Amino acid sequence: MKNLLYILVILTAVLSSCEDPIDVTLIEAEPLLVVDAWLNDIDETQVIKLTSSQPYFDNTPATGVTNAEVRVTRDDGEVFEFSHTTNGTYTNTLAPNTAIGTVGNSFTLNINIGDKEYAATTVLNRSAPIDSIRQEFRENEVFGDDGIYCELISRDPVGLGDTYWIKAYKNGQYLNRASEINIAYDAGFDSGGEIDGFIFITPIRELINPLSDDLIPTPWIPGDTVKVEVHSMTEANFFYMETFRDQLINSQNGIFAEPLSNTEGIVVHTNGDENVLGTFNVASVSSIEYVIQ
Amino acid sequence: MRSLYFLFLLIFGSSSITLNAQSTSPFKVTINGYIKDANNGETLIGATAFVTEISAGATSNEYGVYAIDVPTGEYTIEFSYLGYETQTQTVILDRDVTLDVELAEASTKIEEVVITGETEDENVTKVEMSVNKLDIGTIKKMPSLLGEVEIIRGLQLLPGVTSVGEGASGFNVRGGSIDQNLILLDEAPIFNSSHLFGFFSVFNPDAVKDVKLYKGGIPSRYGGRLSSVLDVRMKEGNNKKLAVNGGVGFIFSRLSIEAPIVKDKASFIIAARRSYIDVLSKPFLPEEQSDSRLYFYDLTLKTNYKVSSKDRLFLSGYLGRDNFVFGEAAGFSWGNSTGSFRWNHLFSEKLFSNVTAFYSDYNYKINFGDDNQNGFDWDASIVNYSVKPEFTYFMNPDNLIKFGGQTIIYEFLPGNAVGRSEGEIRDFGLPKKYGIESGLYIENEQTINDKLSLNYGLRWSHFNYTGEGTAYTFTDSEILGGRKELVSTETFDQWESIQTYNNFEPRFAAKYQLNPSSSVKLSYNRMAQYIQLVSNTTASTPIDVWTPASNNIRPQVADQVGLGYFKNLKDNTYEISTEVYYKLMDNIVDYVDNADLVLNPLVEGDLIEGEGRAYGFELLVEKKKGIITGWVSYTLARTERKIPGINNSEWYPSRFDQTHNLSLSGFYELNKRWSFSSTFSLISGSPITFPTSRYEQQGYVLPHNSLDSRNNVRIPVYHRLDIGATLKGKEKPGKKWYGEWVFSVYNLYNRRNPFAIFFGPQGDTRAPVGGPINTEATKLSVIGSFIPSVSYNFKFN
Repeated sequence: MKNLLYILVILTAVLSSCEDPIDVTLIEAEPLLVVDAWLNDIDETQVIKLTSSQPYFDNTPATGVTNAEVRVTRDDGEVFEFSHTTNGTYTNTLAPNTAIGTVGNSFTLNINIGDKEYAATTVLNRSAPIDSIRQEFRENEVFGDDGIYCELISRDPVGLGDTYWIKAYKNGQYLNRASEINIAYDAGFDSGGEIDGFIFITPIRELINPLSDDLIPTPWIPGDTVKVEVHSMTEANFFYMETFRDQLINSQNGIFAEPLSNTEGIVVHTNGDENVLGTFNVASVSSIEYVIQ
Repeated sequence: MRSLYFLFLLIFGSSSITLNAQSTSPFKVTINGYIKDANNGETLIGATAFVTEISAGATSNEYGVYAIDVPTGEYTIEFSYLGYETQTQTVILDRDVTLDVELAEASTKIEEVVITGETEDENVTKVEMSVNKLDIGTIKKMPSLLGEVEIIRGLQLLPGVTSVGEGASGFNVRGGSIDQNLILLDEAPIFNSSHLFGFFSVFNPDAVKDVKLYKGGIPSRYGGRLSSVLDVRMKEGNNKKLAVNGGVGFIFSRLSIEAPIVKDKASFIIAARRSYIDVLSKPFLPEEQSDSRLYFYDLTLKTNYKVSSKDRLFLSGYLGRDNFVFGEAAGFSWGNSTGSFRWNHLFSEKLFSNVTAFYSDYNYKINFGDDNQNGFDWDASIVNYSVKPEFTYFMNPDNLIKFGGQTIIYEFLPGNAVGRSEGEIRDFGLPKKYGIESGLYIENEQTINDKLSLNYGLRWSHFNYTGEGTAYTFTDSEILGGRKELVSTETFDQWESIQTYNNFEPRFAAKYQLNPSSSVKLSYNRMAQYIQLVSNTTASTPIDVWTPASNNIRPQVADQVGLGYFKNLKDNTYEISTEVYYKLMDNIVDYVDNADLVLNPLVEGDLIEGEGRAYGFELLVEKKKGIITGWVSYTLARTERKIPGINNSEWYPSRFDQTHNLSLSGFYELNKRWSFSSTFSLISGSPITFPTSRYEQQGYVLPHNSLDSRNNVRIPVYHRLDIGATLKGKEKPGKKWYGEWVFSVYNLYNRRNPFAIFFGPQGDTRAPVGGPINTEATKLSVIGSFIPSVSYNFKFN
């Protein structure tokens, strides 16, 4: 329901509020290991990135961790070795026409860096089947220009606790604004609602439309390609993504911002007590591609 | 009544009996009556009746009633009230006498600015401390935001009262959260005191007679909130003649009408305000937005009827609403409504009673979706009904006893929600919750001798969380401060107790007069709170819901001690008040990470309990007489929380902690027509949580706080200067229409004061794939420029 706050924030724009960049002095902290391990059951090449955290205002790309041993083990004993390519990127290329696993498989990630051992276990959950992309010409909308807008028609399977990350692409380009991060708990926004077994609720369906700089949906034109992927997550990773998204869009909530908490991923330092950032998820993916008429 | 009387004698036995022994004569008589404003018949709260011969007196209560007990004889009695002509009457008291007095407003001298006190030396002589009274006339003179007279903004210029920032709803008193203030409008509680989030308060200044804020030493007749009581009393309505007040400003237009129904017996006031940006802007909106409207209004109504010299009835009501309508696609509205009925009765010259019955409701409604296929309707509310009998017993000049009780029945509707998706309808609303809060209290204001006076009392409060409903049982999370796991549920029938709590709340205040112009005061109070606002955002939103104490949420309890030194100088021209306080709060509510507070049946599993503490020093220096008046208010304070799992379970400053808070308010009367005012605030930055690091994940860059600390760095200092000027119309005898122009500039030197600092990638841009993402800090200023305004007020009578 947090998105409702958004409407409040639009209202405060009535007043002359403004945002300015500001210089602040931050407290320094030791770099931490960052695990970026979002695997799925479609890609031929699976990628895991290992990097280090850096001071908040350090705008250089993250430094890769290059000396790690990275392995994913499926619950039936199948082992996937990931080998280093460049700057902290580890890959495993599956044999053609095979997937890393099927719904219900669990996976353990093991990372060894020197004498430090890190691990995480996750489950490949079901995704929501996609029925269609529906296009509609709209005019006289309160927000947004006249034009063609799309909706994702996809029904959450019955049963509480399915969680998804819905990724949209316009002409092959991933829509990567923070406000375009589209996650769902069952067919609704978050865990309390019990909006189960529904077609995704309207705001989730419509967040596949690209947003403008003012964060208002923009129309498509005939010939554009819409691609949508629904990635399944575990509940732990949904909460990770919820914090992730909230951290990135918190400033849009203006005076109704919440106190920020850290993202809590599932990777742990098994032979020590270092914090590990990032997380590990294996997704089942349903996808659709549609050309605007 | 007689048996109650004996009960008091037993409770207050020793002290009052010995005093009686000294002063009791068989010929004691009582003089009592109402003290009123001669011009409009409004009763005066806190006016003084002083018997010169015995150097003793009494002040009128909330309903304007005074009573003094004296041996028979002939006496000179002075009736006084600040800003009014003192009236002296000589009376022969050979039996009980009722004497109503009407005081005339002091018209010859230039109006005084009053922020505390009704009598000149009350600051020093009265036993109560940590209490601020704001005169509505003073509030009207202050420079204002967009020309709108604002009661709550006025309060924030007093020591100990702060806000998390511009636009935030409510106010914080001595480190308490906004739901710890009991806001009463004619004795009925108001659950959301703001219009347009927090920019304007719900009180229409034209209908308000008296505003009193208790920050500490809270008397036992008040209960139910930890930190303060804001007691707002509405005007009764002119019972002499018709009077019309009104105004036109940038935001609101106001109109109030008051008149006698039966002269000197019954009168009414009706006051209305409406914002009209929507009306003005409509012709300029594009067609698709012409159905979009943003407006708010309130309507205040009160009538009273003096049935006899012993009985008076009051009926008051309030209805206010904020509406945001975006065509047919979406709507959002919220508002309070209250109604209270009161019956004042004088059982005898010495025993006054008031019985209040009230209804109060806060609710909001949200709807999305423009057809029956897809959409969402949601509403939530808190409704309460209460009966509150209260008695004032003017025992003798040395003992003023108040006792009474209250029962409140609460009905919480945490959310009634229906969603439609492709024509399928699903109801995912939550059931209502019920609670009954009761209280019994007794207090005595006792004068021991010339120097020492006391006010002591006890309140017993009780809360019954009752069915029908479902009680949830949780186990504690394995992670400190994590979400609790549900283990079982149990359903309860209507009025079946799920959980009960009770608290004894002692209250105590003492004043010791050092000399005629200075005194020291001491106070202690314990307060218990059984309902709370579930809100995890910096500024509370209108959709936050109230939730009762339950089998999972224990009532909040606070203990506060205060010590003060009070001194008046130069014939009460200057008043100096200094206080220190320390407040401990238990069972403060906080939230787990990713708490889901809306439409969550298991919301209690997302709440965690902790403790809070607040302490500080407050200084208020006022200049109350002369052409230039005003005050300086300074607070040095700290408010902290300790919550399991937050900030490594260590103490941390709360989001509204402000170390230094200085404000200056000045008023200058140039002549009979022109007056000027100015306020200046200088406030230390409040703390927010800064990250230490950034990291990359899935092409995004995220902030991270490696130290897991909460509210670890302060935002920059806040300072702001506002100025105002009032030009009054020429006064002529026989003229019926008076107008005045009010000019003000808010934030004169155009400072962009920080509300918060946010961290994130630059804007919400679409980052190039694989390219660098820059992170930066941005400062949010709610008011980004200076805001001039003009408003016109008129009066017709």
